[in-house]
Amino acid sequence: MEGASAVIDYDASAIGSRVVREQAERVLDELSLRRTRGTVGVTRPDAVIGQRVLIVGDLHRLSGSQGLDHLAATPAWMSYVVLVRTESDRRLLRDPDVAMHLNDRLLLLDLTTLKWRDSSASSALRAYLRAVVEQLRPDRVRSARFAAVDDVLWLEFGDGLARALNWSALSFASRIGFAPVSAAARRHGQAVVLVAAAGQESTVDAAVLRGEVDAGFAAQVAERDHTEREVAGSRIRHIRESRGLSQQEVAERSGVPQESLSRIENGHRDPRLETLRKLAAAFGIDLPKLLAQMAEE
Amino acid sequence: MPAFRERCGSVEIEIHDVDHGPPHCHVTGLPRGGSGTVNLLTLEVKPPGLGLPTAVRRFLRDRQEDMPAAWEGVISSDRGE
Repeated sequence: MEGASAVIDYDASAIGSRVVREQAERVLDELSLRRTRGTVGVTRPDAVIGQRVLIVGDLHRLSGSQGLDHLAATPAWMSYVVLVRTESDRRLLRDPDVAMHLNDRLLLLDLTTLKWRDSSASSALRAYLRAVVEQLRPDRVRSARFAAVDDVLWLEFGDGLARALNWSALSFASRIGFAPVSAAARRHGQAVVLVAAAGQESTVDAAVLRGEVDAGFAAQVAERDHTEREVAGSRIRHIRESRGLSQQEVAERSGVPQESLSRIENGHRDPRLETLRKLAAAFGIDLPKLLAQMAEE
Repeated sequence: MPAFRERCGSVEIEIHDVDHGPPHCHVTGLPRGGSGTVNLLTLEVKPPGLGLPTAVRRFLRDRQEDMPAAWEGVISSDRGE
């Protein structure tokens, strides 16, 4: 959902360099995040519980005297962007115990090979933080796997919600046309790719999967989709009315039932391409022209 | 393979095999790390402030018939009420 990232708080106080911190904070401001100024790693769960918290900082400052153990043990609603930027960071990164803790919640961005002067590091940081924040959304899948023996799709969503879905109970399972043997999140968690034993693949939108396990989310998506359909429908209505045609006249000319046209214009259904082709003919134009006019307004 | 996947420069444009209506594609790899969706009938972009490079807009306009056709093969979780 577009507004979801707005409820993520962040703390960038663990970045040692003022320049880098300012750049990181500028990007995070662009993403409309609220800023917290708490002690890193910790602290007042009662103040932020239920929200996502993103903490950005240099590896050696984040690990501090307690090492990375305490970061890995913090609640699932806290995520870390770990910057490898200084010699201290590099030394820590070579420690096998540290590397072991750099799991999904400790997202590692190595900036040591980039130069701040030519802005490549700044661009990398910007793109990375955007991607990280995207991944925290409820309609993103952070990890996915398929247990063929149990017929279960395991998912962890961006906001930490984890669910095991019975494959055959999913609304779209029977229409995919194959039984998956594996699954993985892809495109920054926007979709899950399912793979069959014979190699066929199918990409499933992450929002569809979220809707399968979260009725409140499904209702939000349905409302947003209806609004989007209303825009498309109103453009068809405008094109019809600009030609002085009633719905009944268009129905007679096109063969599209008047009730269907009404539902399309009111945003209650998506027009199929063939329906649009018939409507275009009724308006005295071809399909490309109709589509171009729908996109122009 | 997804119902539709092509690149326009560094931007990847894709229609998922299973998705919810209305017809749309996903765009990723936009400048400054942005990503979003584009309605295939109106070419409206979400989130609204997301800037699409001119080349990507032209790409979508040039395929304004092909992409809704590709959407017809999508397993849609809904087609409106």
